[in-house]
Amino acid sequence: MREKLKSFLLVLLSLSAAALFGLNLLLALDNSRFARVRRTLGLTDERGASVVIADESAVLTPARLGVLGPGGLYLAAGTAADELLGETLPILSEALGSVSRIEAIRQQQFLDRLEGQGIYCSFTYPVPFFLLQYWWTGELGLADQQAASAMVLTVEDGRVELAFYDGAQERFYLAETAAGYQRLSALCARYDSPNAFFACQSDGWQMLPLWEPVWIGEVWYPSYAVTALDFTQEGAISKEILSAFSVNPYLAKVYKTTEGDVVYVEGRTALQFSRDGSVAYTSQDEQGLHLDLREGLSERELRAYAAARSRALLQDVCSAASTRMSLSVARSTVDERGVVTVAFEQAAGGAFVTGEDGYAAVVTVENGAVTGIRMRLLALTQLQDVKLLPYRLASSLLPEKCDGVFVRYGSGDGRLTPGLYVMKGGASRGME
Amino acid sequence: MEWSKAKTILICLLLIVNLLLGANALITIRERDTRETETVRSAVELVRSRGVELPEEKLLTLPQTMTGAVFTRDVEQERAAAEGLLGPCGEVQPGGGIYEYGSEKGQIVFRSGGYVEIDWTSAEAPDLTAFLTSAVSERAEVREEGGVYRLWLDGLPAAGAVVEPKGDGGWSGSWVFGAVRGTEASQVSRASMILALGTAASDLGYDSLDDVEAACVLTALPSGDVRLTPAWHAVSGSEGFYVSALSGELLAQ
Repeated sequence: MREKLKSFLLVLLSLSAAALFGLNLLLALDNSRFARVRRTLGLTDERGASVVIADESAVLTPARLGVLGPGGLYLAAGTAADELLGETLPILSEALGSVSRIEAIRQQQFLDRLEGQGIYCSFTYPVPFFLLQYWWTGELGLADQQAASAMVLTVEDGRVELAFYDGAQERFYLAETAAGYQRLSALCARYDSPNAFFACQSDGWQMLPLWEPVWIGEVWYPSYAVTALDFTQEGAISKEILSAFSVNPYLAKVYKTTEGDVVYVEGRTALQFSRDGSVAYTSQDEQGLHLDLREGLSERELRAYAAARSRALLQDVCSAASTRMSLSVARSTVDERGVVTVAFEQAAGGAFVTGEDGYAAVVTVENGAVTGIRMRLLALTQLQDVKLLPYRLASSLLPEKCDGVFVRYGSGDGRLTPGLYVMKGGASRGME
Repeated sequence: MEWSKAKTILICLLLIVNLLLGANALITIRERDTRETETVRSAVELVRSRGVELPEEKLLTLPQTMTGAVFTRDVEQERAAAEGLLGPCGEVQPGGGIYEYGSEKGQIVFRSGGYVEIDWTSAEAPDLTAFLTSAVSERAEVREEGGVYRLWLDGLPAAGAVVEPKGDGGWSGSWVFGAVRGTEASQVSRASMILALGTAASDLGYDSLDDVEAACVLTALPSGDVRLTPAWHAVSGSEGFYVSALSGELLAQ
């Protein structure tokens, strides 16, 4: 009996010794080491939060976003625009998804709606309405003629209506929606400190379209330090990045170009990484990155789906490279062979970045597979806020007639600096 | 006999080892807690030197880790909750993630991002507590005060998750109707949170905070789902603000 008790005690003490040893080991590892272990295992993102959230950002970011509150227009500037987009997107999505009928209206009817309460947003190009519906709601709408350059979701008499200007056809439209007027009214009521007005609401802005917003006072945007991911450095190309492009590091042939670029070749797929953060992917269509697009899609379906899924792929690449880039569709076209080309702009701090070659990324989709990607991976670090040229002063520099004034980031000396850009005839030029 | 002696020696040795390991673990935990408390006090001092007074003792009582969650919208759950309140009812889907249910008792509209509107026509008062409770997970609790229904997750108040009377006799507000898609654990230390709190208070123009409590904040996601972000709720007078325990950033609320 005594021996049995001893044996039992021995087992118990051995187990507790093992448990205590484990506890001591855990305590000896500090938090940062835990964090590193968790990151290595892919359990945490950069901030340390458990990774459970898929990318929730919008496929298309509006160039300007504001709320028509009780006192007038509040136009979001800088990072506040990102917060406002998160707040308004559920309502905009609900409205776009529940559009029942679109009818043409007169310009004055559109301008009248700018006097009410609601949400205002505009884009740098006329976005086909069905694409906007799909990218913001996930449902492909029926409208195929109209495009939206500027739109206002208004709440009045218990109804929520969507009025928009089509810059491609220079026409105005109105659509009834089933969006919640109480939620929209509550949102508008919170924005009771206007900071902007529309060109039609004041004299002296005849050079702008009447529905263009104008800031009243000082406007501040953050500036950023830009660091290009140098892929020629040892260990810069991780397995995760290669995996995002479905390139097997053990099977691919690797060589360096005379410029020092690293090129992976696997079958008929080539992936090139450069010192300035550029990544170029090319593949034959049957070996490309498949986007799960079924055969027989219509042109509008192809444009909508290819853009949304290409963007998800690019965001995965950014995530694999441990950098955050907010990409927004800038162009989506289909040629006569059914080849879809999608171009993306990078958004940062409430404005788009003017890339050296125009776009942050360009993707080519053939037969349901990505056969070409050209992108530049940049890491941005937010610096101090910069005051923009006041609109009153800027007005003297504006041409007699223009399509609008947008805030964009210009790059130089490793920094992104916000500035006002004038749109004229579809092209833009910087003012500062 | 020899084996018995060996066992006795082993038991003694293991006892000593366990005592040493246990003592070491206790000392380490205590040291860590002391160090954490000191770091918290240093952070409070640093914030104080920047002109913002914080309730130091209250901050030490706040949890070191907090967990938030993302809830996927569950239309079936919404339908079941609607039928529970309205009885057999008709359904309309105008698009845009809007689901309308109606019967002779009233109408319920579920919108994306957890927004719900209830119009009640029946003379019989609705059991909204049961309706709202049926929609949320076991981790959540519904509390009613003066006709206003609030959600609590893991014992923390969920800011923004409120259903309250609206002007025309019904109720409206944001709620969580869905299943947990995943959880997010806070990895920001209390000291970092205090510095973030101080920066936010300073930016918002507060020179002192009366109270700070753990909470979570409801956010509607573009997908129509809902996120409950763990946060610290700072109170100054009758005003307040939230700082995310996931990122240390000021949350819009």
